Amino acid sequence: MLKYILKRIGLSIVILVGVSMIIYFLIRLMPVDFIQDKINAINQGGATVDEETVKTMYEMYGLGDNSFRGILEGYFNWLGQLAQGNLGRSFKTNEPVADVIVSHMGVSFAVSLIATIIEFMIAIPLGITAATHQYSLRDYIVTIFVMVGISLPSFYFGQVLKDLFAYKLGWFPSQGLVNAGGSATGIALLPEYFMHMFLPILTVVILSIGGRMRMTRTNMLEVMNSDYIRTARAKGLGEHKVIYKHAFRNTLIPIVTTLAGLLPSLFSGAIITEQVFGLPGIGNVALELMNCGDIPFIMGYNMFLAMLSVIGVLLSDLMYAVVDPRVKLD
Amino acid sequence: MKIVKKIKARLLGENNGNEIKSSGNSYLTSKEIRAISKANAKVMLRLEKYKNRKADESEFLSEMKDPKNILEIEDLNTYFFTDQGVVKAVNGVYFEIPKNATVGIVGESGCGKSVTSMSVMRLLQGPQGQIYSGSIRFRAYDYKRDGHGNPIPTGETAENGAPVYETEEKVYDIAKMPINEIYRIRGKQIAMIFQEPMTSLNPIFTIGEQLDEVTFIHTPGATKEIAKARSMEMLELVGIAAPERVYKAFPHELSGGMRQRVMIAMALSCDPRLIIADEPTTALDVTIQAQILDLLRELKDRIDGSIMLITHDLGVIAEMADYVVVMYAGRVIERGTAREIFHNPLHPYTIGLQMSKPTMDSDSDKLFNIPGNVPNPVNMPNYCYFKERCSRCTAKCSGDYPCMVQVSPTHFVACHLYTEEEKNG
Amino acid sequence: MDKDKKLIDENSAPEIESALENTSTADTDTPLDKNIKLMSPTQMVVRRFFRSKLSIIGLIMVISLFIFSFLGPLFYTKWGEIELDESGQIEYTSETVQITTEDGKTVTVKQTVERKLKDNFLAPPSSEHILGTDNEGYDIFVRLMYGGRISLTVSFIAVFVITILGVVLGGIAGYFGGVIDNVIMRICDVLMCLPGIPILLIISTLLDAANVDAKYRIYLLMIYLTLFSWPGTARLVRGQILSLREQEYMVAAEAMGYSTGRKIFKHLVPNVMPQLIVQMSLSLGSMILYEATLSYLNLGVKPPYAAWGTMINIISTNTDILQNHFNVWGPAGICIVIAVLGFNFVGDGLRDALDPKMRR
Repeated sequence: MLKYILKRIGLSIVILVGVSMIIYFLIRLMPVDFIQDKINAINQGGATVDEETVKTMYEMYGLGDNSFRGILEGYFNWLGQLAQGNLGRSFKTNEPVADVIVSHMGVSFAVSLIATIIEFMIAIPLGITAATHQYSLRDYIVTIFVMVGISLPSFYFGQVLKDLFAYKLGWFPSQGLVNAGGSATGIALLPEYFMHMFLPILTVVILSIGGRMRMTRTNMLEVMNSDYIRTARAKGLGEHKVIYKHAFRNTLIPIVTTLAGLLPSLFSGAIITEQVFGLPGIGNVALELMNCGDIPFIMGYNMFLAMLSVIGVLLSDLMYAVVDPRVKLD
Repeated sequence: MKIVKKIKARLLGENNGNEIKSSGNSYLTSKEIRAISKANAKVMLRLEKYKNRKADESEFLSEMKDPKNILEIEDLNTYFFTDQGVVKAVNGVYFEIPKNATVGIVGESGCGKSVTSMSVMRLLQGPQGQIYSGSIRFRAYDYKRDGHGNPIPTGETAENGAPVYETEEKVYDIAKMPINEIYRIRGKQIAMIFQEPMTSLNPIFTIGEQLDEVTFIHTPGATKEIAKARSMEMLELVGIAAPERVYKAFPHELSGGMRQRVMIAMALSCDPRLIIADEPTTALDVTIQAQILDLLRELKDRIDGSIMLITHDLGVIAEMADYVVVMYAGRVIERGTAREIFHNPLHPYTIGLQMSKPTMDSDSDKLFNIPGNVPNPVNMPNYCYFKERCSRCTAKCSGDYPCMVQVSPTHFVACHLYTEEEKNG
Repeated sequence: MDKDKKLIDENSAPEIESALENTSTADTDTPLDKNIKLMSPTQMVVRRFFRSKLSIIGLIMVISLFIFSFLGPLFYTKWGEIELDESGQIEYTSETVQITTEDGKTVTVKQTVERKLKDNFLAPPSSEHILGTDNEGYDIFVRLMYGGRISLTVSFIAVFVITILGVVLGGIAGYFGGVIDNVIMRICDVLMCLPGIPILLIISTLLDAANVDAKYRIYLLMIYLTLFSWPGTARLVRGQILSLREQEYMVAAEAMGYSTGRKIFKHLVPNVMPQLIVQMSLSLGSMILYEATLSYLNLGVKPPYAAWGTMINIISTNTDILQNHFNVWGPAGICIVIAVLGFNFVGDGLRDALDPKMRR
């Protein structure tokens, strides 16, 4: 077991190095030049910046040499810094990248966590009823409902909700995380947070319920056709017990496995939904900083995402061994 | 919607009812397909409703024709309503299982043996598989129930501490039982052993949990201790050397033979009156097969019950069975005592089956085989289904399906060769 | 059959009887097996596909969107994709101006300006503009059709390329195994860890720098997207081939001395096809969503050209349109939903029809 985990971690590091290389080279080829923007801003302010200063500025940010060798050097510099636990400073906000990520992660995490919990609570029972009543009216209704959910573009559905509930009905605020000009602090902020997060959470839940429900349904159908369910019935177990004890426990295996895989992605933030509702989550911030070529942040953020997905895969494989007694890792 | 229909028709290969007869392998036209699915839907819905209805006990109480029998199957028709037509998997089957007897059911694969057993257990996969008509009378040994359906305790307790309840004997017609009443029979009165020990145990529960469950379901007032004691007893009974270890094991940790023993232990847990063994040895090694058969035979003497043994292996039948039922394409073609079937087989198919069994003392180096295959029982015509494969076919065979002829008190055969004789004599 | 033994109530019996008793008149001369009429394999697939009403609905949705997008502009030629409605109304603005005269008096003058607006923007739906015009003065109905063309074409190209890349690379990995398999699978691992939207954001700016024509940049962007999306298909194909390689009939093919090409194309590919077709139809839906999202983020099709996502983009900055002009952004969203839903329904139906496990 330990050997397996170590092997997998080693492999994950190789993957992450590959990912970081691709991202770094892509970024360095990006034309959006943060320094140039900065210089232009100074120039507009009336002052002139001489060649020498421009050059030192480029050097200062580590962007002086744009040849292949220069980029390679820059990459290894970045890697060296990373090895010391330093993701660098964001060009834009001048804060350490790690701080930027951590400070905005909370909102994203809260939204994703609540949404995921609700999603599982709705999707699993729906999937089971759909499977046990296959081809019935109930199956059709549930399937249509969740399929529409899958097919909705997040930006569109989010805007529709915003239009309806925030502007037309005025039940929820349309933007941000706290009321503009509000003075509440501490615990009093919680209701405010709740009101602001309600619509984003609703959006995420409706969009993601379908996938989970269909997965539950397919698994359940497969399990219901297996020999051991026939055995359970032959024993004289009631249909309810057959479904909720014997079948459901087996259906849970892949569900729990994906749950573990989801855990890291809770931190990554939903870029589009956060943008639509103006939530100060990590996804929204990333979109903004990426548009202005903040290289250290882009690197840090993307590596953060890649790391989460690597951990997710690893966790779900480990979880598989925990839940299913048949699986032995080696 | 009209366009859709047209496209659908084109895709389904509609050719306005003109069938392609030339190749001999004609396919259904889309019109026929539609007709089939429409008719099927109606029948399935009705049968499904019948199955799920609520009914008073009096509706499915019945009487045995012969008090010596524990199970009587009369004119059983079990159909599968498929897209290609109604598959009459069991087509007018008659046979009975006497008390303390082993009845072997033989036939090639696909002849309706397993479907018969599934009908008895009411385990057919709905809504396609349905018992269409007939009766399955079973002599059950059930708890006496008070007005609320609760069992009445006698006030005594058994050795293991479980309370004892008053019991009575009743005859149920399983085919007419609503599905929610079947739980008083399944597992308790009739237990089943399946063909695939590798997949028939739930992989995520331990053997102990799965064994205890049977006791919990069927013994009112069972505690954890009672259930475990019972399970251990059963594991020992089926010859498992280390019951404590097996009790805690997961199914995947056991070999195929061990799992089949566990399945048998599970079946025996509630002292069933009838054990249905559906090809219990097919998936096992030859040496393990012998062990399992020995075990079954030994157990039959110990428990006060009968065994319905389904197999395609005549050797197994010869070793185990008291009575033999030979099935072909959903029908019983011959039945009698094991002695009669083996020493005096009458139906050409039974004779063929016996001849195709390899023996050591055979002179010929070529193995006999019955030409052809079991036909797919869709749209069966009304003449002997075995006609084309039969070597002793006469002109009469093109006529109606032969009826059952009684040649001895226990020996029946459905073949025109013998209807003739009867009329003459 | 004895009537009174039947489990079903009597009055329904004749109907059932006719369904159950075989319809074919069996003549005793034709052999038994030949009397049985079955469905051809194609019929069975089609039958299973149409068993679910949802597949039919999905098919209708997809086909009608295709007709709307590709044939629509040929018949409805009133407006072009980038043709502005310049029949703007006359707008009067009046303002009061205070003029100080030479002698120091202040006179208030009301001044009315007559201005002819050049473009007829944000027009409500009328016979002239079926769905009205957007904030620039383009006809929304026509732009929906052109947007559909782009979305559907782009998705088809992307899915096509993804499938080819996936089949070739997955096939190579699965068939040859060893080092090649290892290398390809590690590349898959890396690509699967790349975050989608951020990477496309970066690539999009690269395209901007290369001065790619607004009309073609979405195609290029989707091609880049395919470079990161093939691992899913490759894994599917590889897994299938690995399990098929163990099957007896492949061993038989080996024993018969078939060439590698014959083994792959005659035996392996047909077995992978059903799953591939299902995967393709399902990923068509997700590609449409992806394209729309890119256009919405202003990375894909850029104005003046139309795409469904681009048409919705305006509401992310303009709350007035969001609140008061549903006809500007609503229809595009509905089109996206119809397209994605249609492909999902069809994909689901195909899965039911082609999955061997569903066969009875």
